[in-house]
Amino acid sequence: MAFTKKVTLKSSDGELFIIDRAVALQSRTIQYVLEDTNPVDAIIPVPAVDARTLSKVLEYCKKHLIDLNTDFEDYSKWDKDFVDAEVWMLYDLIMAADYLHIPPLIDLICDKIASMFKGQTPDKIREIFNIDNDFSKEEEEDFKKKSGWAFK
Amino acid sequence: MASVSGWGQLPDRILHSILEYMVPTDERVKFSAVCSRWRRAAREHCREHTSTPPLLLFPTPDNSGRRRSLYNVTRKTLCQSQLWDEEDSEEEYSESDEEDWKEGEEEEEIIDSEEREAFERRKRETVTDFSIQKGVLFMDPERNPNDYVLMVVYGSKESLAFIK
Repeated sequence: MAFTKKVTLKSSDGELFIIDRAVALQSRTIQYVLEDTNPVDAIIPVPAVDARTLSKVLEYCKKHLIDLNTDFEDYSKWDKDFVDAEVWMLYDLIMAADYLHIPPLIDLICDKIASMFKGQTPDKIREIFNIDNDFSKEEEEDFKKKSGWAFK
Repeated sequence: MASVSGWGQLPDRILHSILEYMVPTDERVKFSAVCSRWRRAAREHCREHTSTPPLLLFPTPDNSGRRRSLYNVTRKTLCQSQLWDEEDSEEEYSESDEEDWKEGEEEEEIIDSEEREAFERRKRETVTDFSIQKGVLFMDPERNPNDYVLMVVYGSKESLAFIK
């Protein structure tokens, strides 16, 4: 059975990424593709992820592969900086991490998103994430009456 | 791909992962106030997850007769959210969001629906009729549906009630 040490990924906008197989294997989605088809020098399309996001995701995968022996503190600092990104980037990243199925990256981003709620009001959170308020006036009033503290 | 408004449409599994990382009750209530989809996810999450230890009922700092504070034993802090002592109709009571939180966070999940109903009724009666000052739940009702104890301090004379 042929064993390819390098794997080529193709982003939604057609850019090619040639990476170590071990890096790619951190994505369970790609792991399944490799196990199922064992493509030799084949290009694996990643249609849901654009080049900018994919390169960022791969940056994470590389770091976490190389630094498995780094002590915890270094690691968490790097992670913290990694998710210190614009909101739209976090969105692209979490959708990519979900599609590629990289659980530690999903956890990292979810933790970051949850931390963005601290000290914010629902109005402010809507503003940060650009979400429409789709509650009826009654629902809104009811909620404010019961949980008014949350809006301060 | 940078569709920022997509946040409101995140898949449920991602919303649930985010909720995992939130401080119980407080931030999750805010989360559920953002949009209806997030609210639905927060409710489901609340029903499915039983990892949070029960919260204690406390008098509010301003000593309100109609509200109760919730004390988080593991974090040793009062939650920002408070329970309302409802005098509205039964229907409104059981549908209100705050009650959903209470069921999930304070009493943990009770899988058996009949039991849940009984528990809610008991809770309702005690909250409205006797002004509970403190409540403690022993044992996880989910794991020990026939062997859990609710102890409450209620009324102006701080009487003690034991429900087994």
